[in-house]
Amino acid sequence: MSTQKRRLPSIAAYGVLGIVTLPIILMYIWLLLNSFAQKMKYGVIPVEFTLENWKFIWSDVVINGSALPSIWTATFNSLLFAGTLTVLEVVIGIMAGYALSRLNFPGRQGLLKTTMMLHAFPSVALLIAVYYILNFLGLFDSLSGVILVKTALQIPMTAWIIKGFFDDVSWDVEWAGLIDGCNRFKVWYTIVIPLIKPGIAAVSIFSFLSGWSEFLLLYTFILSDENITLAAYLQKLMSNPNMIDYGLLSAVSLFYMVPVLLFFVLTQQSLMQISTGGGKRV
Amino acid sequence: MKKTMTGVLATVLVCSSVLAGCGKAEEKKTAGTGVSATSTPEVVTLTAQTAGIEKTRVDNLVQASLKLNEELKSQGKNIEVKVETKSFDGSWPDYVKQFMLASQSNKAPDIYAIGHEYVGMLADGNYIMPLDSLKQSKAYSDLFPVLWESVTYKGKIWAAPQDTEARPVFYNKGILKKLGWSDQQINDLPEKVKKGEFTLDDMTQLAQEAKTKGAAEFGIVHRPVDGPDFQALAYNFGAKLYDPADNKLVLDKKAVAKQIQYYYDLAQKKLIPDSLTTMEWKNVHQTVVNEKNLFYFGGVWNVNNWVSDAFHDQLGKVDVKWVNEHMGMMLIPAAEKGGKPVTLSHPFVYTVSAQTKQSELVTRLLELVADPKLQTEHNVKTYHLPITKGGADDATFKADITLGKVAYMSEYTTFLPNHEGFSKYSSAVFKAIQAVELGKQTPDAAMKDLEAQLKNDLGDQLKIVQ
Amino acid sequence: MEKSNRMTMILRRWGLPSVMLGPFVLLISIFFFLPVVLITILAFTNMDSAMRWNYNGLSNFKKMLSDPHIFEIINNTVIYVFFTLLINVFLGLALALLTTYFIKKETVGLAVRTIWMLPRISPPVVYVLIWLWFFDPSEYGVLNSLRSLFDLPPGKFLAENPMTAVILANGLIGASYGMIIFSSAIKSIPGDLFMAARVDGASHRSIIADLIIPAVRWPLMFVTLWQIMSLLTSYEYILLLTKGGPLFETEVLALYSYHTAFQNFEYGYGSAVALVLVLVALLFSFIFWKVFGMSKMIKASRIE
Repeated sequence: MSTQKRRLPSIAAYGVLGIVTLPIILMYIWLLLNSFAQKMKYGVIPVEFTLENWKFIWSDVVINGSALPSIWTATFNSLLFAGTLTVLEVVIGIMAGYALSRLNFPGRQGLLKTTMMLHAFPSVALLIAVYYILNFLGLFDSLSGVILVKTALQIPMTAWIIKGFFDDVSWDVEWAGLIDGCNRFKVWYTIVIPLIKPGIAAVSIFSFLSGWSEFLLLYTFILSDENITLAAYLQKLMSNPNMIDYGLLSAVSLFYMVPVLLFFVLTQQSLMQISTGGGKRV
Repeated sequence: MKKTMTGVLATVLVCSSVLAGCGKAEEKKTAGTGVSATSTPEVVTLTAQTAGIEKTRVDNLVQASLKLNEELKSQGKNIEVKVETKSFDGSWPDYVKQFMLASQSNKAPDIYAIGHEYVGMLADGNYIMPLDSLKQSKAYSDLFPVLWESVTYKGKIWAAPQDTEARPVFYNKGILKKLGWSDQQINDLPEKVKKGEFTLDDMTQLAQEAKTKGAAEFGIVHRPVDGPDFQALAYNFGAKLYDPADNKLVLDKKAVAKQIQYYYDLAQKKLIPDSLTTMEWKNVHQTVVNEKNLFYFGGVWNVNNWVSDAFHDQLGKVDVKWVNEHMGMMLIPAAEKGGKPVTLSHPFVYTVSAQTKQSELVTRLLELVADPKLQTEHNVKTYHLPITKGGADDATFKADITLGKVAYMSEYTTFLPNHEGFSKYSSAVFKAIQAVELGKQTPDAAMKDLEAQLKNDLGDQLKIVQ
Repeated sequence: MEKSNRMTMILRRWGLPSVMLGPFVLLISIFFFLPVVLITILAFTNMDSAMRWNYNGLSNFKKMLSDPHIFEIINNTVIYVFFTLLINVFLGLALALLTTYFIKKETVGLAVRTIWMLPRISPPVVYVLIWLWFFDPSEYGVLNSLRSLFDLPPGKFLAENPMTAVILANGLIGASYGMIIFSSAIKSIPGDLFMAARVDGASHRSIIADLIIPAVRWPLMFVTLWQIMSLLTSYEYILLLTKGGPLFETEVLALYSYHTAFQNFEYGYGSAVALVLVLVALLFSFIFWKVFGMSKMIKASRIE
């Protein structure tokens, strides 16, 4: 009796969970089906299998008589963008995180407080000024410029997270190394860094994914087709005023989602840890 | 310590390689202008940008550059001009924004094609250079004189007109037939409009008849987004939008109130689709092409849209013959009986970036691109109208069945003001129209809001006429 | 001799921190502090499309007060933040409870939480595309196709209830944030406590009320304040979904700043709006600070 009573809420829990989660699953399944279907009956049931929508992979998409840039240019740029962002963030993040965690220097408290404040800073409200700065640096309409902006926007968070991981490494480990006669950098490099590998992995994944998904900064600061990224490519397709081709859009979307899904499936454990920090994206 | 250095060095390297990526684009530009050996000509690369589906606007510049190169050769100049074309996809404000931001960072294209109403804004910001010499040029000597007005701002010429167009009202012949109209009557409609016998009210009433009799789902459709068409109605009601003497925009309250009332009535009588202003262009085209709607405030280039994309449920892409068989084109009927009907032209123009280092070559290129043959190529392909008499006399242009029917409309045309604040005016009026159509506001309330909005947005650039 | 010694002393003391922190400090100075200074200056100019710095005193702020739409926009901002937050917190809490407390199988809980992470890590353009397609006003949209099954005429949800759509789309993204934080808070409750409660015969309700809610009280505060700050200044999804329209119905303050600057080319006025936002956000940061204090924040920023 009592076990049954206990089990009932759990069944209800499965039910409720299923109902609220289903729409999300359906959303992504629709994307998949639509990309392979000629037409969607009632908007949801695929009719006639086709590969037509995937043609963009081997030939350029032509809209209104003009070809969009190749998807591979966009893919390359997105990879370049997300990759460089990740390297910069991890390198700068580790350096800053270590310093914040371990080194004693004047103004440390102030810098710690500032870093924390910047987590919640409304940085997107500052785009007008950022435009000026990029322009001044001669980095407007260049991927490198946007990479720097994006790195800067995320670095307080990254440094903070990495600092947390360093905090967890006990001083004893470092002392032991120092007593063994290694210099500080060697200790850092050979003993401490390996200990925070999970943290680095998590931060890398987070940076890569957020770079890969970036839209607003690229949309505002990139003009040239040669610097087009996948987000902008998709936006171009979407904003074509005359034709909204959902088949093509879903195929491109899926293509765009591949690394995201891959990373997601392979590494979601560490992602779950880190995303608690990623508050910037709502 | 050595390792520290390596670490720092690595970081510096990473940073500098990132920074190096951006330098490339500029190098490319200068490489082109560098002096080289006398045997190979010096290559001058000019960039030209446009937006929208009419790529002929920049492709024609490439064609013109071939001719320019011949001329240069015969003059014994060792220069070869190359035109690089770019095209932008997105809204007009975005397109202008990108040009202005690019100019700020010295990356502006040499030639920038845009709707003429942005000339004022671009001239005020020193983004473009005056082109007064074009007025004396032989190539533009037979330009339709009104078109000079469309590129004049503060007494100077700021652009070379590229094309113009007619914005007719399309009417669906099939629906009129269902209402019992004879072929003769259907084909005479444009003439009746021209004479002022068929008025705007008649048009509304006819739309209503089609709707109540079930011949059409909708009576009237207009563009779903902000655009010049709405101002044609203001002109129809006698509005003046711009005072060139004071260089101020004008809010003509009486006429604008009528303009807003017109759209309000359309919505109240359910002649337009619900929330038309939030529809996609795609749906608008589908509604028009699939015989669901009687009158459509369109543009002659829409024929190009219907021919190049599949909007028809059964036929997919339609052809020009189909369009001419199923649609008629007329002016916007006069507001009063016997009055003058109107249409609005929105000439596209080539502006020249103030940053160009080749103003002389660019000017010569603009003279060559006005060639009637090139005009015709663009006009026939994209359904626009020529800017010069020579272009209008071109045999191929004259032979076009669609364009031939609207060429007369140039006589009835009006233009948007070239004021820098006009895009704000236009978007405020559109928002007012949207508000009354969606039933969110009465015309009076919308009018009041519009006035407040314009006063706030434009300040002393606005003149209010009761 | 002595001098070089002092040099090494200085280097010892400053060398390492400055090398390690150099790039970090440089980046945040250029892209956080400098923009704030610029925005503050710009807010007092009438810079427009011509990009000229002309000082115009307080007129941008006066203009804001007389802006006929500013109250609607502020109202929208409040509605948007409040309701999105509501979804974030309650859906997040419900999901956390369901996946950690009611469903004991860790694999199921993890799988569900994983799925809920999808909207969050999907590129915004893709995520919004799905919503656009869902609400497509033509008969091809999902909602309208389903309506047609019941012989209902096609509706224009996005035009008629744009704010609802915006809140729903943003709510689903934010929910996963609350879910993760609450889940880990619930998981950190020692298992014996649950056992003891059960042995005592406590009902689910009393376990939730007496055990779980107290445990998530601080995370709840944290998520709320954090999300308020993020929502106030985020507009990417709104820009993609409705562009603030129709009319001004989904225009929020942050988006308005973007629109005035990059669409109407009123950079000065846009900066003034941005400055107001920055001040409001700083106010919330201050509250955040007071509520949590340093140590709590440190902990909260990396819950595992």
